Amino acid sequence: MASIIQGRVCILGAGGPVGAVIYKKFKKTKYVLRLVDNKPLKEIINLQNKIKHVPKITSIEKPHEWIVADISSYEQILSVLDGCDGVINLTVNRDEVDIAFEVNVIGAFNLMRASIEKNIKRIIQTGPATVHPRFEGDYYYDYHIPDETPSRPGTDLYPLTKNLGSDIINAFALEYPELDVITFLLSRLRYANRKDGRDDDVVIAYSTAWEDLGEAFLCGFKSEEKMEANEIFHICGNLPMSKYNSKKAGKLLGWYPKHNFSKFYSLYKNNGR
Amino acid sequence: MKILIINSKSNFTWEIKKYLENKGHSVKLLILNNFKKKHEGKLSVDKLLKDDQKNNIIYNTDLVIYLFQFKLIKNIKINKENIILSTLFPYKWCSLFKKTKIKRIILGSSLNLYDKYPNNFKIDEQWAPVPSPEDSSLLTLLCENTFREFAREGTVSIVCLRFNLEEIKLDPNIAMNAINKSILLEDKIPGYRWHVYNISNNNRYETRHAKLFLKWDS
Repeated sequence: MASIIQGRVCILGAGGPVGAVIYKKFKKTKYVLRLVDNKPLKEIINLQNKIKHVPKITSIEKPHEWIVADISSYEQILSVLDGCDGVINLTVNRDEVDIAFEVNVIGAFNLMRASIEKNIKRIIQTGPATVHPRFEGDYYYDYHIPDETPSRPGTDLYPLTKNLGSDIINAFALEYPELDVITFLLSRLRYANRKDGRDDDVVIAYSTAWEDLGEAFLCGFKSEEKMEANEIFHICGNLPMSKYNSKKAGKLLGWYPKHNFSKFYSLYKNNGR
Repeated sequence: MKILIINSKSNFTWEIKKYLENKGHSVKLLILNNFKKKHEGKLSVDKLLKDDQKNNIIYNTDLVIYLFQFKLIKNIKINKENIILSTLFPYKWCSLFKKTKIKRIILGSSLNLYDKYPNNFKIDEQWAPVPSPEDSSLLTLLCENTFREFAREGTVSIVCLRFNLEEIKLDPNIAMNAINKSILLEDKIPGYRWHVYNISNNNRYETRHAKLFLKWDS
């Protein structure tokens, strides 16, 4: 696949903390961002101010722009992709049944159809690494789990609907090889050295530092290496428990996370015991 | 056994009802039609969930035969509405089945998942589905994968029967025999609750597993 080193990139679902990280990383590069969310920027800023311990957007500087659009509307997505070279899909609904299917499943379908129509050169889809389910046949007690491991979402609304969205994206990626599709799997996102009380400050095996995340998306556009129609990557820190790693992202994308959350599990370094 | 069949209006629905009643089962039909308006299918499930608390259509059922996906298999164009009917619709049904503790679902699915393989390949259930984003095979996959996760989670055992619809239109016995055997199928391996069988007399489809494990008679 050809790398994209400049051009217009559309961020769908830009109003969350991942969008904030990407904006911060991309804003001084050769990329021009079209940040898209279903809410106006002012409303997003107000919402983000209520949430602790996550990156936030405070303003958007030109030439970057903010557009209000809904991924469950094909016409709206077609419109916002106009003139774009690449797209990052961060949209998600986790809690409301009907809307979750509209955003996570229909949204994936709209994204792929619109990308064909608008000759998008690179699509970065995001989804959950299904690390939490507890049922027979999950991977909860497995180790060294590779990036391509088939998803086991279970029936929780969020992973199930995102997984169905992935099925749609895979089908399009196979049918239209000119669409360069890669998928980033994410799970727990947190600051590398800031204890925030989540998970009782125990680091889970699939954790990614906010400080590393933006670089992964930059690498996603610059990379030329790809083997599968939809190449799936673990985007996580390389933690010593060896359950998940991001070695494939290092090899194919050139992304090497700098943080492994040692503050959370090293007993002697900081507390003098 | 108290059986509920969910389907759109079709002759096959009545034939399978009669067939199963002759086998001694008590069979109820839930015919779902009129999906012309936007999201009517989705809304009809919501309405049914409310109504069912009054009339116990589902609460008084041992086993469900879900054939509604047949409606979406016949070379139908993929659009938002059909994706909703193939994902959200089964999700809501399965959530209800989980709540009502139904132990077995028989899902009528399609062999169109294999249409993209060359015609001279003989295909069994171990071959990966290759859905096309341009036809209803993608809808088949989405529907199966929604059901599969409910089976995986362990509250229900699901037998997924992949049919060739044109073939069973000509000879419904192919399907009826498979459905009857699916009712009788025992879950011999604890925790393994997702069964998939190719059901066809066409040489293109390997049906060894259906004959061996389901005891299907072609």
